[in-house]
Formats: sequence, C-alpha cells, structure tokens
Amino acid sequence: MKSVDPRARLWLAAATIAAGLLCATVVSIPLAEHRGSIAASWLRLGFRPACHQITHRCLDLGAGPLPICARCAGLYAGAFCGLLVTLLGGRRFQPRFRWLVAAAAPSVIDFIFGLVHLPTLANWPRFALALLPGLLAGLLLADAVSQLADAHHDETGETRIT
Amino acid sequence: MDHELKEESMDTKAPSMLLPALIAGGSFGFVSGLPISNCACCLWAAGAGFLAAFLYSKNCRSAGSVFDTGKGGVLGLLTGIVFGVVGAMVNSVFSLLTGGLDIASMREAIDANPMISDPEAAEQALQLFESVGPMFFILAMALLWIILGVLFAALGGLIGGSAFKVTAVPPNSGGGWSASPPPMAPGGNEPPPPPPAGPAATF
Repeated sequence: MKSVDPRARLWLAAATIAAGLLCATVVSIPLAEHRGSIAASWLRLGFRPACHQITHRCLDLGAGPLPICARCAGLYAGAFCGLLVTLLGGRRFQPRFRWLVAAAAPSVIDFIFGLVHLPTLANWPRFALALLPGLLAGLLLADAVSQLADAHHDETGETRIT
Repeated sequence: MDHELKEESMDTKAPSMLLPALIAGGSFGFVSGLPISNCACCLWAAGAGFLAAFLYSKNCRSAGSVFDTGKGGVLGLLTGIVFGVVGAMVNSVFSLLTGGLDIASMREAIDANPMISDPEAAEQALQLFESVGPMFFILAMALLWIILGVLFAALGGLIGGSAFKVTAVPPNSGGGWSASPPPMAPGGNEPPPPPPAGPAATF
C-alpha cells in the first residue's frame, strides 16, 4: 500500500471538500426548502438529470425528501467516506475490480428486482447497501487523484517528498 | 535513455480513444436517454466512463501501451461528451414525440410531483416555461445532460483508470513488454521463457 505524497494531499483535500460540499448540498436542500427558500427548489431541479427523484425512494431526514434517491445518496456518501479515509489515513488503497463487483452485486440485484417489479428493499437498507460500492469507488477515485497529482508533479520537475 | 526510447515507442503505439468512447458513450447515452431507464441515475454516465476505460485498457494491453489515470480521465471526458450528446438527443426526440413539453403536461407533471412542495416555485417554473417555450427547455436540459454526463463519465474514467491501469515495466527487469525483440536464451536455440500473463495491472 503506497502512502500519499504530501503534495498530493492538497489535490486529495480539494476532491474531498468537493465531495463533502455535494453531500452537504443534498442534505441541506430539503432543510432550506422547509424554511421557504425558492433557490433550493431550483437547486433540487438541478439534480433532476442525475437522479429519478421518485419521492418514495428518497430518504427523508425530517424536513422533506432528499433531492436524490437512497441508492444515489449511499453512493455519494460512500465515495465521500472513501476520499476522506484516504486523506486522513495518508495511505492509497487500491481495491481490486472484483471487490467492486462483489460490493455492487447486492445493489444490482435490488435494482433488477425493482425493474421486474419484485419486492425491493426499503430506503435505509438500500442506502446502506450502496455505501460499500460507493466507498470502494471513493478509494479508487482517491488513488486516481493521487496518481494525477504525482504525474503533475513529475512533469513539473518537482522532487517527490517521501 | 533506453527506457526513454521505449516509452516514446509505447506512446506512438497508443491505441485510439475514439472507439471505446463511441461504444461506451453511445450505448449508455442511448439507454440513458430512454424515458424508462432513468432509474439507474448518474450511474449510466459513470458506467460509460468506466466501461470505456475497461475497453481501452484491453486495447492498451494488446498494443503494449501504458494506461493510467490521466488517460482514464481524458477518455472519460471524451466518453462523457459522446454520452451527453447521444443521451440529450434521444431524450429530446422522445420528449417531442410523446408531447411531454407542452404547458398542460408540464403543469400536470409539476402538480403530480410531491417533490415540488412550494407552489410559488412551481408557478415560477410554469411562467418561465410559458415565456421561453419548449425549445429553450430542450436545449437547457440537453446542456445540463452534457455537463453532468461529462462530469460523471470523467469520474468513471478516472476510477476505471485506477482499476484497470496498465503500467510499463522498465526493460531488463524480467517482465512486461519491450519495444525490442525478446532476448534469446544464452547458448541455445530454445526460445526465451514466455512473458508473464500481462504487464503489472491491478485487475
């Protein structure tokens, strides 16, 4: 397991902050709408091409449904956790593709059940199932960002700090 | 020096990114544009970038070229453009054919959507729709589709670049590809031992 180059941490921190902001936006939209913000409603519309937004499939944290479904929320939250774990741990995890497939399998099965109108999971279990593939994708993304940062520093001729 | 020459030779052999981008972006973009398939959400775009990375890594492996996250990101961007254009076109055509862009059906959709809880926001959306017309909405939606497609496909390409990376092994290190022919075994006509199953790859 490689360690994250200290300068690559800046890139990683930027990616983690961006993912955190995305998650925070998702959670804050129903809260802002609850307080009468019209901008939040428009922001909710902005998520429309990224998610079906079927109300009964979205988590409700008390102020109304989130602008994305439970599965998407799990993926986003998991990816954020993956980036955060790499940033805080300072280690680059490189999960194998087969792990990603295994982690995504339960969500895929649930998705197929939904397509053929078989009983599917409730929102919170669906969210929990999506966390793991999201986490692995986040770890891979963190590895990719670190590699990009390393390549950039190599190109600019900066010496690597080990 | 030898290593530089080898890397240069590998770069010139790099396969084209266009075909994987067209296959992955085109197929996933088409499916995502269908009105029944929005249930997989952003995963269509990310999946397109990921699939393109998988296809390209196979091409790189057979061509003896390097595939890393940088290339994965670029490939994801390219795939996202194809995905966005195809998806937006298919979606627009279906919207026009099914008549889902007239003011009556728009009002119906807004009334039926409990997500839009604020009547003032709903009225604003309807007024905007009436004033600018359906073509503006089609173009705005297409633009949003392309932007999100590029964004998510680039992420998928980056993740794919990390998952399927094909790295070059320096020459004379006992593995990987070399631009020069493999050395013969000393003192015999026996062919050299076969190379390993592939270059260092995490997949």
